[in-house]
Amino acid sequence: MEGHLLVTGEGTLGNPAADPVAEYARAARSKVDDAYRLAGYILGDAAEAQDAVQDALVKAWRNWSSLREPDNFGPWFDRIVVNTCRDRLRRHRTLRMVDLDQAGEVESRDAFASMLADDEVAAAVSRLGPEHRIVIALRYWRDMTLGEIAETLDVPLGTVKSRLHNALRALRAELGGSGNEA
Amino acid sequence: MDEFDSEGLERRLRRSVIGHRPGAPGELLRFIDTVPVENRFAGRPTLIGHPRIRRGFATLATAAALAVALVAGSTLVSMRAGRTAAPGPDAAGWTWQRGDGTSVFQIGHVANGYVGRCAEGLCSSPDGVNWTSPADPRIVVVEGADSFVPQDILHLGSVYLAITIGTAMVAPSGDSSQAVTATHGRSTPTAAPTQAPADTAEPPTYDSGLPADSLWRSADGLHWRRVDSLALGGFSPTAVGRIPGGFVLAAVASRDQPGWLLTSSDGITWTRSSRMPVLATVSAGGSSVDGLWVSSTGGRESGVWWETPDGATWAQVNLPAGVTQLDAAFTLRGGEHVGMVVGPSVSGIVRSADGVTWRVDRGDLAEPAVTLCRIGDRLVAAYRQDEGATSMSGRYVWQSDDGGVTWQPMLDPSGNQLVGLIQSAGGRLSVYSYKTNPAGNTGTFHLDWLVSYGGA
Repeated sequence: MEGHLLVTGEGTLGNPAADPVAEYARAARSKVDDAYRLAGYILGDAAEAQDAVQDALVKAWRNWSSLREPDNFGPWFDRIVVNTCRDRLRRHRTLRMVDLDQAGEVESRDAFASMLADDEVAAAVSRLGPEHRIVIALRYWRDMTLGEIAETLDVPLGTVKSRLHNALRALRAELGGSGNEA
Repeated sequence: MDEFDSEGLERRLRRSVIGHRPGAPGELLRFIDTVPVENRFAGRPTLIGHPRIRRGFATLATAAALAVALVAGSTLVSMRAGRTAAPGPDAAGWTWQRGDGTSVFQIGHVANGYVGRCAEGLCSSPDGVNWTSPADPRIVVVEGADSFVPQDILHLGSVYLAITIGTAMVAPSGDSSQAVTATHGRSTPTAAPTQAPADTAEPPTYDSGLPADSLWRSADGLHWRRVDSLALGGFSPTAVGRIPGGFVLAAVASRDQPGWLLTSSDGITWTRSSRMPVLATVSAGGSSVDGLWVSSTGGRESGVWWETPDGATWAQVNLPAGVTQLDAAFTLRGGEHVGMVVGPSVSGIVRSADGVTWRVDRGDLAEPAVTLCRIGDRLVAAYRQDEGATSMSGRYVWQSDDGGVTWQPMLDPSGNQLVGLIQSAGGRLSVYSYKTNPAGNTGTFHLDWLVSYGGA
C-alpha cells in the first residue's frame, strides 16, 4: 500500500478534521454542564453563568482550529470559561448580593444565588475580588488540583499558591474570623 | 489575621457547594448547535473577506437578484410555483425573498441556480428558495467519486472554484512523494503541469492538526471536478479567494511549516506567490487593494499579519489586547477598514485606517456584534440583547449605511426588527430561525429569508 492513504468519508480515521462541526458539538456537549457550574460558582448568578458559557462556546468555536488535541478540550475550554467570567466580573463590577430574607424566593429560580443565600461562606466568597473568587471556585467547588488550576489560569504554580493563600485570608477577613467550623 | 484555621475554612468551602450542582439548562445545550452556524468560518481556516473577494460575491448576487422571487412589504404577488413576492426593494433598499424553511447552509451561486448543504448532503435550488436533495443534475454535476459540498463558491468568467472541507484526510505515514503519485497518479482534465513549488521541501504529511480541504473547479458552472493535488504542488488548500484577474489560494504543506499563497488566472495552473508568516493552522487571507491579511490561532504564532502592497514583507497587525484573530474585515469606500473580533475581553466591531492598527469602534451599536456581514454597500450586524441572550432566535439584526457609524434596526417586510441567525452567502443575507427537535435538547436551523440589497 502506498505510504499515504487517501480516505474519504466522515470520521473514517477518527480525525477531528473530518467534521469539525460535529466534533465541536460533541466536545461542547460533554463539558457544558461542568462549564455552566463553574461559571455559576464564579459569577453567583444563573443568568450570568448562562451568558458567560454562551460567550465561551462562541470563543471556543472561533478558535477551534487552534485546538490541536481534542482530548485537551476540557482544560482548554475551562480556561476560556474562566477568562470570560473574569471579564464579566471586571466589566460589571456589581456583584449580585442576596438578601437572606429573600432566600426562599431566590432558591426557587436560581441554583447559584440560592447557594449564596444558603451558605455564609459562599456568600462571603461572592464579595471577594475576581481573582480570589476564581481560584476558590476552581479549588474547592470544581475540586481542581493546584497544578490543574495553574494550567487553567496559565500562571505558575507558585502564583496559584499565593493567590489561594491570599484568597483564603481575604475570605477569613470577610467572615470576620468565623471561618472555622463550629 | 493570618492565624485562621485553613482546614476548617476549606471544609466549609467544600461543603457549601453540596446540593448546588445544577446541570446546564436546555437552552444552553441547544445554543451549542447555533455556534458553528453563526460563525461558519471560525472553526476552519478562514478567508477574511476583503474588497476584491466580496466584489466577486456581489457579482454573483447581481445574477441572484434577477433569478429569485421577491417578497417584501404587504403587496404580495402570486408566483408561478405558489410562492409570493413583492415587486421590488422596500423603502430601505432591501429586497426580501421568503425561504421555504429548508435547513440549508453554505449557499452558493452556480451557473444554473444555487447549491447548498442540506441534512442529506449536497442540495440545489433553481431560485434559492425551493430546495431539492439530492441535487438536480441540471444545476450541479459532480465528476468522480469524491464528495462535493462546497464551503464557498466564487467565479471569474465561466471558471468556478470552491473549497470543500472535511471530506478527505491523508494518514501521516510513509514517503510523501510516492503517496501523492500513487494516490493522485492519474491525470485529470483539470490538472495541468504545475508552476507551484517544484522545490517543495515540505512533504505533504498531513495529520490531525491540518485541515483536509480540497479544491474543486468547474469550467462551466455545472460540472465539478476535484483539482488534483499535483496542480497545487502537493499543498493542501485551506481557502480560496478572488484577486484582480484571477484567484488566490491559501495552502499548507505540513503542520510545522508556514503556508503559501498560490495564485492562478484560470484555477488550473497555480503559481507560488509568497510564503505566509505563520504556521499551518492558518486562517487564510483575502486580497484587497492594500494587501493581504492572514491570521493564525496556533499557539505562540497567534495573530494576524498583513502583506504590504509590494508583496514582499509582512507586518504583524495590531489588534486590541487579547485578540488574536480578525473574524471579518471589509474595506469601505473611503479606504477605511471595518471588521469584527472576538477576544477574551474585547469583542465586537473594530476599525482601522491603515489595515495594520485596529481599534474597537462599534459606532452607536448598543452591544458587541456577534456577526458582521456586508451586503451591497451596507453593513449588517447582529447581537444578542440581554433579555434574549439565551433565546435561539434572540439575535437582533441591525443595518448601517454609513460604514458602521450609525445603526438602525433592520425591519422585515412586516415592519418588525429582523431577528434570527444571519449569514452572508453569495452576496445575499441568509436569515435562519431555530426549531427545536421533539427531544428538546437540540434543533435545526431553517432558512426564513434571503435578502439582497439594491442592485445586488
